[in-house]
Amino acid sequence: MIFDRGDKVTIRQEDGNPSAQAVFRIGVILVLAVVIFVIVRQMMIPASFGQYGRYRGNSISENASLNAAYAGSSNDCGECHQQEFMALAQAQHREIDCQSCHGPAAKHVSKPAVTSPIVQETAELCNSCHRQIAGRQDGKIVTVRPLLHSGGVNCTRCHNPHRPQLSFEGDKS
Amino acid sequence: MGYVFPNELEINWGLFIVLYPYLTGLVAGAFIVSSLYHVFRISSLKPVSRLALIAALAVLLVAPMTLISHLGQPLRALNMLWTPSPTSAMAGFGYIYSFYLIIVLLEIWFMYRKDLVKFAAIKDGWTGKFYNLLTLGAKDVSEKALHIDHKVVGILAIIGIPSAAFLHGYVGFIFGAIKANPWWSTPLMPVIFLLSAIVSGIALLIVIFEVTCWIRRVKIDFECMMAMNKYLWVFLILAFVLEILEIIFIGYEGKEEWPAIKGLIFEVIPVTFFGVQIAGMVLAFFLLLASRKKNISQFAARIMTFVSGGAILLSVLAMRFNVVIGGQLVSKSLVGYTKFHIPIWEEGIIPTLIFLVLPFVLMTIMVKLLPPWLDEEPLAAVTVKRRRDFQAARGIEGEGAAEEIPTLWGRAASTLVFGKIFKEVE
Repeated sequence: MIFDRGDKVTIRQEDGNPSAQAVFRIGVILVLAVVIFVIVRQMMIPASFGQYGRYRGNSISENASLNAAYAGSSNDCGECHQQEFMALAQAQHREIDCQSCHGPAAKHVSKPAVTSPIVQETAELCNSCHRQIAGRQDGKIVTVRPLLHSGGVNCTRCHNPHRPQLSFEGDKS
Repeated sequence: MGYVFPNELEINWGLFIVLYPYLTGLVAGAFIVSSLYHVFRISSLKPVSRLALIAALAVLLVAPMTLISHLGQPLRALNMLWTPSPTSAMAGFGYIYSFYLIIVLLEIWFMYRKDLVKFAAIKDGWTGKFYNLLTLGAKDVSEKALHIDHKVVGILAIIGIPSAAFLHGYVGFIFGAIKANPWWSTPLMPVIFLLSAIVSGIALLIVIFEVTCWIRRVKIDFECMMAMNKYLWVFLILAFVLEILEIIFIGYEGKEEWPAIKGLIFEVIPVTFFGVQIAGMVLAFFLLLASRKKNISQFAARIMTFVSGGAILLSVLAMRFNVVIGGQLVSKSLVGYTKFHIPIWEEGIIPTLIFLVLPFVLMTIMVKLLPPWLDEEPLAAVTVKRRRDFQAARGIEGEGAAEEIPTLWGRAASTLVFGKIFKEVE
């Protein structure tokens, strides 16, 4: 104990009173705590940590072995959904992949009957690009203030998302 | 307002990140007040030396809650201890915080050991057992043992000062090291944070000391109050000068970021900057100065010190807000400002208020468990029967007579009496 040497105090006095008892016990507890921490830390560090860098090496193979949720591209969709595909190819949205709005569709492509990636008709999806915000320049993308623009009416009531220029043929496809 | 980039619309560091440096600052400040007594032997601060540490511990326990709540993944919190990145200042938090927590806990334990032994001996049932557990079986309260305790507290306080400075300086370091943000990026940031931390900690103690004396209906130690008043004033000047100097420096340099910063403080956050942060400091400066004039009555001086303490607490909270939120309001384009909306629930005003009240709840519980008052008869909290027995044991002369009390506590109590328990360490 460092305090013992410094203060010239022995742990056990002549009359049997251990006066540095407190320091000794705390010292033991601290040492124990450090030892336990080191052991627990060794147990908690993932096995493959640091294999390639400061992350779990296994996470790469784990992610690589996951099934792809997205189908290849819009062309895969076009094989069956020709009407929508042709409409989209000429519209402002032509650079947007089908799955950007419809969500991951790999399952649907392999087994069309099982799942169908229908977009829930929500203004929130459209607003994620078309809501007017600071830093989003109007012109490149048409931006609106949703409540003023439609008063809460769903976008697809007026716009066909595959050919969004207003033509009053919403709800049709 | 102006032009901002799309990824600047959301203020990512919200009110909890405002609270974090505020709370750690209070901890560092309170700890330094206690160290002024333990290390620098400023005896007029003795009445608050224990209270300061209890306050520091209570706030210290709440501080990481703000970070964990902000990040929202409490189960991952300990990963920072298992696999910290050696090159990340933020990842150092786990170790810096833990080290400091241990220092504070140890200092409190050694400071209270005598009382713990006493409570273990004279309290009933589970309470007694609880105190017994807290003593860790180290029940030697001879003069020599207490002297060692006292020395250990001094050593811990010496280690604690740089630790406290480090814990809080590092918060400033994190902000100061963000080179892309002109409102944060300055090597002066850790020092500014540290000084405002000390100021807020002293202010907190002034407020707690005044309020607890009022609740307990005891006469306040005026000398102690005025000592804190003096230190608050000195540190306030340093903190104020550094904060203002920093802005004047940017203005005088007049580099490309100055118009953005000028716009920030004059147009975006003028209320919290000039109205609360600067005004609070100026008000406290003059009140503290005036309270030490000779023709001011003690009562008026106390009120003025108390009001200064409150003003400083608000001012430093505003300073944390202005730094944390203000820094994110300035666009990287330097020609626009984002807006900050204070939410109600999610990282909003209500949980923020809860985090501000929580340290005081903890403090109340801790003060009940470990009374920090030095002016109180230590037996006041004990049941009447135990007190009578204990006083009887105290009154009986001679070893044989004391042994007539057959209970365990009786034996312990007689040991205490003969171990001169009631003699103050100093």
